[in-house]
Amino acid sequence: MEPMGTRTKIGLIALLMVVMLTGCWSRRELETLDFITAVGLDHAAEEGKIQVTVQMAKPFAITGSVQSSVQEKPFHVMTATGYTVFEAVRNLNSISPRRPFWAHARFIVFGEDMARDGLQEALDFFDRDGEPRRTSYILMAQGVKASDLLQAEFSQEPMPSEGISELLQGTRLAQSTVAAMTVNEFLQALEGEGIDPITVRVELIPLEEDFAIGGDVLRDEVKAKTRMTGSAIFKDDRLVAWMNRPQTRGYLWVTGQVRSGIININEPETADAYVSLEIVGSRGSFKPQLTKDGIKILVQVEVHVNIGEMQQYIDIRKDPGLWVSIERRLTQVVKNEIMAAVTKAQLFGADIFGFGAEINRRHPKEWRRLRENWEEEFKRLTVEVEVKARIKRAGLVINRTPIRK
Amino acid sequence: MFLDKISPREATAMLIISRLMMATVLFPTLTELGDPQNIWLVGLCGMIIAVPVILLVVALGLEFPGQTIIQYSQVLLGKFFGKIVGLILVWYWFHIAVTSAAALGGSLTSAIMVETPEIVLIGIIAYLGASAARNGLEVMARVADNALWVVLFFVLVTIILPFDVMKPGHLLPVLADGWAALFPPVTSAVSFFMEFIVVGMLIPHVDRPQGMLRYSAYAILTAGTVLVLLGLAAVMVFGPNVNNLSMPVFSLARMISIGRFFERIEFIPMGAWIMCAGIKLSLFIWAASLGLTQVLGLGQGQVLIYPMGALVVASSLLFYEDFLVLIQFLTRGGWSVYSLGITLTIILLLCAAVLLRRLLRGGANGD
Repeated sequence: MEPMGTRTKIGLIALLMVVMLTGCWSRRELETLDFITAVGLDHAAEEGKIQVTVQMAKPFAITGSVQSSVQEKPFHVMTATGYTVFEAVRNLNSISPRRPFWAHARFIVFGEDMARDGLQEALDFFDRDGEPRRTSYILMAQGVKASDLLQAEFSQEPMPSEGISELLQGTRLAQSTVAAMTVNEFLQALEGEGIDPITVRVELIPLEEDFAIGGDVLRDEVKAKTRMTGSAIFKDDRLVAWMNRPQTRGYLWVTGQVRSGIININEPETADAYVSLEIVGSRGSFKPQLTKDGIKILVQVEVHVNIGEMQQYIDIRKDPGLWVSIERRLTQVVKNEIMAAVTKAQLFGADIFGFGAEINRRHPKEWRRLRENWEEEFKRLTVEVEVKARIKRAGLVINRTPIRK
Repeated sequence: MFLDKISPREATAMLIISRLMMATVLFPTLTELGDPQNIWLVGLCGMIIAVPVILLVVALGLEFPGQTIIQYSQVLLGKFFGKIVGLILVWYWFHIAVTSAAALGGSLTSAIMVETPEIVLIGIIAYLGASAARNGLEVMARVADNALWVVLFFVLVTIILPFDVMKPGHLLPVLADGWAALFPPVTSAVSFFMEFIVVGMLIPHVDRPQGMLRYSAYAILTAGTVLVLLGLAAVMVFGPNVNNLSMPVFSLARMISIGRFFERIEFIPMGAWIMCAGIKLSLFIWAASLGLTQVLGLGQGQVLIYPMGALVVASSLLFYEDFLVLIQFLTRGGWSVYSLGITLTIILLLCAAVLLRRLLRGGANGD
């Protein structure tokens, strides 16, 4: 065969050029970009408009001098309004010297007002545009505007967006008291039949009496913090209720998402003293059963715990009945949490568990009949919970140190 | 005339890559589907139906050793009708090249290079494809043989790495609306496999033509399996949203995030797009040019390749003025009817002619 011809060489070079065209035509130089790390959406003061607030990283402040006692904040917050999200996003350009870049947004937080009225109008941009990702989380700010929440800080973490992401991971892993959805999961729950979205609640804790949002450049003191507890439940795209921590964990038990967490129960032999149990593993699932009396959902949960703390002395070696008793109490707590979640969801007709979707998967024919009136069916259905609880270990001591009187 | 010789494996590589091209870019069969969880059934049915049809084309080619489908259709159907069939096939291949170029250009500009004029992207790819074709089938075949592993690797990465966001529950219920609902998407899947009729042009160039019987089936089964896996991955990741997506495979790669470190790797499917499109364009521009020379009875096919490439670029902008026209054509049944109509009619016509000829000749021998 003849050696590689000029044409082939030119061709290969052209192929390389195609790959590099991103840096040529649709060029984006790093120093002309402003990296958005978090997005907040609210109703604007003006009727019918949407307010988009973004938290952006300031790279030069992140690497700035460490000696000075007052540091420049490594982030700044900007806000713009428009009749659509996209218009507001483009309006940011008129106040930002750098082009906002969306691909690194960790989460999208919605103010309660907007979420109560429905997120339909706000979500398409984040799905359609090429820069935001479906892997960002969706958060709900209780009682405040998202724009305020984005200004709250953490004393240990210079970037608030990073801090909130860590809170989310932390509460999920250590407590299992928040249920978070990414944009991808949220959109699926919106479009999917027989399932409604649920996502995490964040709260703003003002640390000063006259807490006000200013555009402070320097980092003087932390004026407000955020806290992550429980979740927000939706009917279609409208936020209808908040769930507290036990209710949220009830939801997580049913859907098999509990990772760890602490459960307190009363000590078997002594009144007003607690045993703290640390969840070390769990499995949860549910099965719909269509009987002639109506729909029954059988929830099966298996939970393994370690004894984490005992407030009063009891000799747990003495009597295996004590273990059983602790396990029985644990079972009851898990059942209570699940029923609390179910009751709340049924009250608002929000099928956050996806009971309907599961019926569709297992009994598609019956689902055709049920789907028309699913909200009513969901409110009526009965839930039966089976919990298998086991205490696996007891930490470094078996009995706590008794106090001799 | 000097004939480039390629091995059956290289021919298979070209066919597989051509089939994967449209699916990695737009995945029309998937987005057409009302119940996306049935995509694997659609893929399997499409494969199973396509194999015997394409084997017929190969068998026809073996009946006329050394002749392309354009040449033997003139033998079978007579000069006039043979030439008409030839022209239709040339048009069909040309149109495939145009549609593929438009799909690639439209996707690249919507996905990443928003400000880049489409003609630049299409022009470069079409030039690459045409220049490979100008150098002959051997060159194209070798490129395809080597590129196949890269493309398959890219596609497998895209299938496997979003594992953490996959929900197998999205694959149920199976066949909730019965088999009838599968009919349009299955025709779509088959219609894309019908592009393999181009094997009629490849057979005279294959050094072991008999092997093509086996290898063209391999091509369909390999490409089909990859598509089924891609479809399964996309449905498990996006659930009910999957048929809203313009470019499901690209979106799939955007979901990859491993340890918040290994992410933003959408260049992987884009690499696959560009490689697949280059090879697909080269194959179909080559087939259309060679076919046209044979219809018109010209000596050298090579001369027509660059003009054909230029026509592909111009037509891709002319036929599909915007992306929606293309999507409409590909996903609303237009393409299925068009592709199946052309290919099935021609294949059946040629087969009937062969049978008739055998019958007549058999009768003559019997006398």
